[in-house]
Amino acid sequence: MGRPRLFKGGKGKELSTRVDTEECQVRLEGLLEAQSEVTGAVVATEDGHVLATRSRREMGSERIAAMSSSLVGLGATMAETVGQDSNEFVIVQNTEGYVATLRLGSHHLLTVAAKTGINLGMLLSLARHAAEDLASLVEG
Amino acid sequence: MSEIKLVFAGPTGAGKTEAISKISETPPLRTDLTASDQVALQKEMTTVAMDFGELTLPGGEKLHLYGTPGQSRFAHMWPILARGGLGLILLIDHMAEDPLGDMDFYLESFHSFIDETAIVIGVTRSDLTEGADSGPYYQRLAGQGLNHPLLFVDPREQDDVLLLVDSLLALLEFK
Repeated sequence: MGRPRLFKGGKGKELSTRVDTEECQVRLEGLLEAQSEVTGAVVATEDGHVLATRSRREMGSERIAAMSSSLVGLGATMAETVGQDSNEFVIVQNTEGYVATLRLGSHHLLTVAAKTGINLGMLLSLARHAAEDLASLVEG
Repeated sequence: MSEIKLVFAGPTGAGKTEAISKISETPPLRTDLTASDQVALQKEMTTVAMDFGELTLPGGEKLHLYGTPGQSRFAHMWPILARGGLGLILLIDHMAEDPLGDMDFYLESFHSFIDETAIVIGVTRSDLTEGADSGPYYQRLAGQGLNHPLLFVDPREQDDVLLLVDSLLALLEFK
């Protein structure tokens, strides 16, 4: 958790700015406080490493980060295959809730899980605003 | 028309995505995203979900080629992609720190799939060193009572990848 990002892009090029993971945690905490139906949220690199996570009970952030990466990878390929340009959200709708994953800045992801009490449009709106809010923290 | 599903597995950087792109007759489906970890030292992008390509055999059968993400944190994709597969092409990077250990790891990870199907092993990047020797690989396999076919291949060469596919198909016919 709070794993620093050491490499980016080409060979061994060290990232000049580091992700402010503590501030990310604070923002995720705010997301959970603002909406009681949101059960957890994870910020990850686009290749599936956890940077920050907050949840009402343990939910396996490492695995969620990796699966989020797979989902966004497939989402983008699906959007392209059906000729719908860029993927915005990958939504997993379940009997007891939703999981929404979206891009956060250009190389990170945000995944938010919520119970069915929330309306899907509300969840997507919350997630989009959270992603915009977090983008400045991860992109430096 | 029958379809045959083959699965490519192995560590990051062994050449799975490259191999599928070299033999697919349609533009391959890829899910590459930017690497943020040590993988970035070797390559900029890494597979996070799957690769997919298609190849029609002279007899008309269609091969569906599925590539797995190499890093073990993406192991959730492995059983999903292996389901319904008829054989495994395991690519091992000869220049990795511990290629024999990598081979053990993927053989173990896919062992129930391998038990039910067939496997060929392709050792890649051996051109980057002098006198690459297959002996240690065969010894390691023999130590586990295994005699899987193993070839040194270059995933950038279409003929090399086709040789792996042909070897696997020959094994499947034999089964």
